[in-house]
Amino acid sequence: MSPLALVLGVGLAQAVDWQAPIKQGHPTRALLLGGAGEGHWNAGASVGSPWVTAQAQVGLPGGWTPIAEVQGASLARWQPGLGVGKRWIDRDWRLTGEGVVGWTLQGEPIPFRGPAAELRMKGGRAVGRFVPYLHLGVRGSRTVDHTEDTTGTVLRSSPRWETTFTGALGTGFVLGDRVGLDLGIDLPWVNVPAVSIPGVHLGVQAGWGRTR
Amino acid sequence: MRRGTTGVLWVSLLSGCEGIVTVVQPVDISGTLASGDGHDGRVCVEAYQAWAGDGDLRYPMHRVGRTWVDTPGDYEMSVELPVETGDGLVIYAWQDRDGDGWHCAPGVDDELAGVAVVSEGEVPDVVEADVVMDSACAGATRLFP
Repeated sequence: MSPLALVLGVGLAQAVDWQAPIKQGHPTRALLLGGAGEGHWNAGASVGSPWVTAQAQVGLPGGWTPIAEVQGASLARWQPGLGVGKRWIDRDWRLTGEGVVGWTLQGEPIPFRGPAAELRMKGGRAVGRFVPYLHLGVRGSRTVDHTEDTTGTVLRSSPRWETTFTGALGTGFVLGDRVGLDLGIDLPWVNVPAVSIPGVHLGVQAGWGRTR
Repeated sequence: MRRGTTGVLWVSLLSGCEGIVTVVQPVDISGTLASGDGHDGRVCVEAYQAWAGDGDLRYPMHRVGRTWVDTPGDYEMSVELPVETGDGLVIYAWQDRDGDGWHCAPGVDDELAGVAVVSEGEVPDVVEADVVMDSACAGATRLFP
């Protein structure tokens, strides 16, 4: 039996009502559908091609959720950021809005270093242990291109904007009280209108703190 | 010390706002344009890097500037050569005898062209390049290399 099958089997063997309100703050639901239960700390990471991500969040009263995250693509582009999420709908379906400000750091061959902001929505609902989700967002980044002469004197500078539509579609799987997995397709449209290739990722989520 | 170095690295990384940096060499070009058959008519003058790109992707005649002059004779132009991606300088000129803005559009076969190869390597900041237009309907890459 593979380790993954073993973990899934152990998780399924636990007879828990995952729809119960007390489980609304489960880290897999919190990270994939947005928001966190009050007093909950959650962290998740995913690896994929080309995107890798890591995010940590904490639940505050009123459905507010401070967020710290970093996203990376092909180990050549990094997007650290801080933000906040707010649960808009939290019944059978959950819909959350998130706003993040940060930086876009991209190396050669198309260097890009500058501030960025991202707005996104996370939505979905828990179905048993599964947490199908859809993420949609838009990200804007700004940098400045320079033209220099051979002595290093800047002749002129021009701002350059990059707009990216972000998106992901997948499902989480609740393994236990404080841990879960997700498998998803990444559908970002980086630097519109340039064409982007979809990606896939496998993630893990964990949490701790109060259960309610 | 190590923590300080890391801190400086992060501060410099995050405080900068920098994208593509293009290093150019400004070059002033002047010279004389001569029509092979003495015909009048405005002339299109184009400046090319002789070679651009690296390795198997290296190709000739990367255009870096263009100007128009009313008639053959003296001309001046300034260009910026992207020195990290190409080498050399070639001046190409063609005469727009019918005034349509196109070089040898269908039905036209007498618009003369010519080149002056300034350099295939380093280029001085001030260049003189005389061009004799004596090849009918010859494109830039037919005349160089």
